[in-house]
Amino acid sequence: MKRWMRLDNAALIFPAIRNSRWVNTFRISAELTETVDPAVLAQAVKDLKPRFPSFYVRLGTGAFWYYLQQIDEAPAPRPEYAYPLTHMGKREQRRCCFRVLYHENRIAAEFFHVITDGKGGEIFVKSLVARYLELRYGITVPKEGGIRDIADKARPEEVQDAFRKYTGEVPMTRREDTVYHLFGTPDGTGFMHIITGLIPTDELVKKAREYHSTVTGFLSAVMIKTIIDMQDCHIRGKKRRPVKISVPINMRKVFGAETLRNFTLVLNIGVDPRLKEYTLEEICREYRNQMALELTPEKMAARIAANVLPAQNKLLRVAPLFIKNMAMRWVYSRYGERKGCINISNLGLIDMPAVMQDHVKRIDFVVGVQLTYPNNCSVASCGNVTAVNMIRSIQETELERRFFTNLVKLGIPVAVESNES
Amino acid sequence: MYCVKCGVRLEDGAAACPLCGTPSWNPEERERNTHYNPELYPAPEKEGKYTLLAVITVVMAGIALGCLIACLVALGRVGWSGYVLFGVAFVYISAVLPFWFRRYYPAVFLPLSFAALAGYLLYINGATGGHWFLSFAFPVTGMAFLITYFSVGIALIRFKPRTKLMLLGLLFILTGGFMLLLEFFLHISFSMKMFRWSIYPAAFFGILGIFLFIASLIRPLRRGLYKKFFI
Repeated sequence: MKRWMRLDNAALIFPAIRNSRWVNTFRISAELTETVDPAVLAQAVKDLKPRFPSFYVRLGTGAFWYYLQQIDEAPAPRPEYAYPLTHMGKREQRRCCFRVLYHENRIAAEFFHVITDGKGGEIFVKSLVARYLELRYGITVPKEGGIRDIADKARPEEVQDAFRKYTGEVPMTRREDTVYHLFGTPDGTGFMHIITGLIPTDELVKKAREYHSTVTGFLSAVMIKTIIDMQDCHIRGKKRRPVKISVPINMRKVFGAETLRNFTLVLNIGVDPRLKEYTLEEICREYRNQMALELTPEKMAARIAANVLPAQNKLLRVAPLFIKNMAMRWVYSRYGERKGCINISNLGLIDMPAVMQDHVKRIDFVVGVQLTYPNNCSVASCGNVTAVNMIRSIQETELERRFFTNLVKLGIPVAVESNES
Repeated sequence: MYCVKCGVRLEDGAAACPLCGTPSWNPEERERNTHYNPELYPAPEKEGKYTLLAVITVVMAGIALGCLIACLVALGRVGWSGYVLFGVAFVYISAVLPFWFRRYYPAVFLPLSFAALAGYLLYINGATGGHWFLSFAFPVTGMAFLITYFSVGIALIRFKPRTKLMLLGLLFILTGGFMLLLEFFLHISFSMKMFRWSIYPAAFFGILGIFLFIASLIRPLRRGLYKKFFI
């Protein structure tokens, strides 16, 4: 009998809020030194299947809940489309919840958020690339830095719903200020524009240290400053709104969990420009202080409880799926995307064994645009290259221009690329 | 190569800065965008609802045809299956047909539904040898259509609150008038007595409509009403 799983607690929201044009996806890609061989890649994707049972699944619909059903066949790698993160429709989700793409010397995996989060995706892509390199060049990649050995069996703690395990008893309120909302002219065609800023990691770390901040903190502070400036162009005085960045936190670190499924919580961190004219130093300090205040296991457990406890409510559990979907859509529209202006999702330094590093030039991490946010920002470092991927569904490049120009003004060299010809 | 405006380094051969659009200085000829596959676009998503609609269509057509054939075989004429046939056509046109389209177009589908209803009534009239279609069913269906059309228009089209209130007033007055006409058509078709009941709803709707119409013209009254009745 084939195995099926319940959705983990964070994943519950994603099928409920998807629509015919938008679904919550993200992508991790690795640029190799040589052209990718699709046949070898297909074999590598097949080989990983027993080791990653929670990835090779399709989304099924029950009467009361969605579920994930394991699939028989590993998905075949496909050539890359004209732009990243093309819409993953319901039909595709019913076949498989992720896709593997290749283009010239790049391997990419695009995941529906229902199966995993950025960290889980990173481990999968690293293991995939390691297996590909082993098959292609006959090398042996040491299984370290998260790379899984395909000879092993999947451990139970890797496929469990960590949210249920680490939930607190008292939920924390979701009430927060509604923030400024970025806007622009929708592209309308579904084309996802990407502008990538490539920054030398050492320079970025050095600059962040100058501001007594982490890389994520520093980039978030620059982004907050940028959005404050943009807001000032449209709204002045007391009508301005707080500017906050949604920062996904990898909870595996906080709780020492090992799950490969979703285990991320978002913290909204930012400042209220009505209070004063913040300098970059002050925003960095605010970021640091707010992070220190919120990022404790107890508070995180309380935040998890706010998501887990409603899902355990008896009345809600017996409600048919479409009622649940309506309820979740309502909650999402109220709390999901009104508390942060933009995501800054940082995978951090992606470490890999030296044998593998020789073949991998760069890792990119792209989180798709949200339902109502027109922009999104995701960061990943590999070697000495930090790739800041800014995706947008609108025509204007104002946010990207201001953000990268602000970085250049701070003395950080930025090289930009885009996917528009 | 750097952008003169933003100060960021550009890709070799980039024609313009992707951030600000400033043309790059001395660009080398760029062959093509190599980051993605510029030829391959995803196929448009097929929607599952069409299968369901096709099944419903086949089932409904099956029922109608089945009845027709059964009647022809048993009675040798269309008989009661005509009612089924026209009834199914009416239900199909008003409840199934709109779903074949991506959007619901009330301006098209509402008249169609009422036309289908009028057609059904005309058939019944003809089949039963009645005399009430032209003098009763047709005008009443027409008026019901007008009122529905008018109210859907008010609900869907974005007006200023004042205009909306004014139109709502007109709609109520129209509804009051419809009550009077309904009794009138009953009177001429089925020789019922005139002015037995219709004046009450007509007076109610008429007064309410006139009040709303006036309220739409007087700002303080409008505001006071909103304060009492906002949702």
